[in-house]
Amino acid sequence: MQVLNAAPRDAYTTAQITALLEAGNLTVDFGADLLNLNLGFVDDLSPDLVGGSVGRDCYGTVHGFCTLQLSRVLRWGVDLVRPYMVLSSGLTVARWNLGVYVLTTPQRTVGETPETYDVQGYDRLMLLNRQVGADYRVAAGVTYRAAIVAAFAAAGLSGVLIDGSAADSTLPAARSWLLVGDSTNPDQTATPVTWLRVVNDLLNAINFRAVWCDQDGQFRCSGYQDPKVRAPEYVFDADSQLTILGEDRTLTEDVWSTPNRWVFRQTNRSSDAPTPTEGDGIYTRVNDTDGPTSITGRGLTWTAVVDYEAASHAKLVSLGDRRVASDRRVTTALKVWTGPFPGAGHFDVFTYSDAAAGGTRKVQATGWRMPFDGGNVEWDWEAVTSASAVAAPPAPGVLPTVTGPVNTSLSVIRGGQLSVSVMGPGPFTYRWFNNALGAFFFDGTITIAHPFTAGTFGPEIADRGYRVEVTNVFGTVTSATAVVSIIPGPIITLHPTSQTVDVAQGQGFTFTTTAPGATGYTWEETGYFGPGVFYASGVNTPTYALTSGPYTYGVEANRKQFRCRVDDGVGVTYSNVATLTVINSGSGPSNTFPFTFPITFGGAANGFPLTFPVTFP
Amino acid sequence: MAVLNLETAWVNLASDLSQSLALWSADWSDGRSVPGDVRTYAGGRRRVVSRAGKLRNLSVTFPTVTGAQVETLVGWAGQTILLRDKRGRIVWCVYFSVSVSDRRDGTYDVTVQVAEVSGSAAV
Repeated sequence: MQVLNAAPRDAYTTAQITALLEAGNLTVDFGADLLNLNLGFVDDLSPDLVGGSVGRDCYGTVHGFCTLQLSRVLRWGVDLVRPYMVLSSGLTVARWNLGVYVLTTPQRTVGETPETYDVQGYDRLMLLNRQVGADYRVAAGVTYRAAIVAAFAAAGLSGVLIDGSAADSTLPAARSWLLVGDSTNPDQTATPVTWLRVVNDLLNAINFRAVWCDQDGQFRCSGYQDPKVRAPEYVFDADSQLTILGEDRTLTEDVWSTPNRWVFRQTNRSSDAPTPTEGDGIYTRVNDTDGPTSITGRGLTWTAVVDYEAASHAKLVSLGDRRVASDRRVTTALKVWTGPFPGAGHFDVFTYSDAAAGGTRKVQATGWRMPFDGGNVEWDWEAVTSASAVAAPPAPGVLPTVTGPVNTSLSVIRGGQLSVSVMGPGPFTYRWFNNALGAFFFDGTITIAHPFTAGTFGPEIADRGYRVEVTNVFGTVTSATAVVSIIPGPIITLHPTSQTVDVAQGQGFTFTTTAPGATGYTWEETGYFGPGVFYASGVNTPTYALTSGPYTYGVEANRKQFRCRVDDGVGVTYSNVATLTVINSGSGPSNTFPFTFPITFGGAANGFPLTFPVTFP
Repeated sequence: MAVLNLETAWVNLASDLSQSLALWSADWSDGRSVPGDVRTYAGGRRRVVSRAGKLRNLSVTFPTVTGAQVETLVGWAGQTILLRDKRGRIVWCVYFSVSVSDRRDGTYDVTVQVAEVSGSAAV
């Protein structure tokens, strides 16, 4: 499937995209781009796209297909169309491209105004599924990568991505696809050869899966990997409160058509190679006892003989194992539906958890169909593992211990953050809640933006309480609720701290205030009127420092208060008040400093204290 | 004090805005909705899935319409029109049927069910 937060969704985390797919209130929109043969953007087709659907048959010759209703005439069979879907939860808005299609069979109702075309489309494999119409040969010794690239080039197509070093192995023998096939070779008397078959024959020989097209229309060639060992790309949990699995889920078990003995034969051995034997051109697999389709289970041996064109005996073994895995997993097929899931791709592997269906198992999607209008996605899955093969959740154990979040002030222009401290056995998942905004997934810290726009978590809501559910394998714990308040100035992250200096030692002082985004710092200090009455000091930098005397101190003879006024252009925040305590140990170099005290007399006639300076030389 | 009474509703053909009908002020019945539904998922989860955009359907009645105007309205059925009423409301819309009732004075009351469409007069 498409990577959850791949472009054009790379602004979000996987947790945010998961939360979007599972949102309790989802809005669906769609559109389409018109592309040229090289996948370049030509025009926006959205105003002319009435509706439609996309789908995929992973076992088909051409996998992707679509049905579009268009009120615009295109160059049918030439133009490429890339439909897309946009999901919105109010918090997150994300787009998925849904593949690139060539439109083949426009159908319209005569007399309809405006003319609307119901047109079928197929992905770019359709362009590769053209007949070669001549002999086509690849010499022995050529790398499979070079042979595949050459086949695409001969077909006039570009945009192919080949993953994996196996493509660098070489053809053990020349390979030909003839216009007039050898009547003694059933492989060559089949239907006329297409470029798609040429490419897939080459890919199959190195145990690659058949070429497929991704959501952006690129041809993809990648090595086959048993879905049993592939990492699940998504979890569909029927028992989750946020499930998007539909009510109707159908399981079909087929215990009849599965062989229990397989013989694989290598068909493209060089002319001077010895007669095939087991271990050199022949590979046999037997299922004696494993499951109801085994020889023991069925009481009879059911053999399948399969021919493969393989680059080597090792590749024959790989292909054989792949076939065995495929034959055995189709014993359980599932038909399910889900809510809109535009990230569906090619042979996706999911974890399917459903107590009513017997537990948790790994499944591989072999087909799906999704309408543009937000309708349900219909899936065909095949079980890759049995229901017991995936571990059930562990027994109750140690739940997370959650500390925080704490009530937080948020800067008008910079926003703020909430975080929690979590202890206990991890890993943890986090789901933050706000009563007004609902639930959203995020990691241990959320950033709350101001002003609040779509895609951010903002405070412009009536309920500013936030809490988080922290989950580990043993369960879920809900944190305390923190209230976010807005202040009209910067958030001070470092306040000045009180300190004591000894003038006898010539000690200076340093007060520092830090506030991200601040545009101005103004230090204030107390003076003649004592504590709590501040005057501008004239120092306008984040740090107010004096490394040596002379000092001038306030009314309490040896104590003076400082604070910093921080401005960010929108509002003002004051730092904590820090007190400077001055002592004089009576010895040392400080005696050389001039030292000024204002001396205050109370009860002046005008109501103000009377002060005058006295200087100690 | 001067009192200005605006009692005319205008209907213009969107494809040619110079074609217009001036009718007696219409009675509007305005219905708006969002396309969507509440779906039930496994385990009984209920979830809202809606489509982008909003739907607007109006029932509009024009009183005392002349026979010629009725013919024009019938002729514009299925075509996008611009509807403006005495309150200055503007709706780009389309209707597919026209209900006509006779009046004693020889004119007609005409009711159309219109559906709003996206439109713009920008040039």
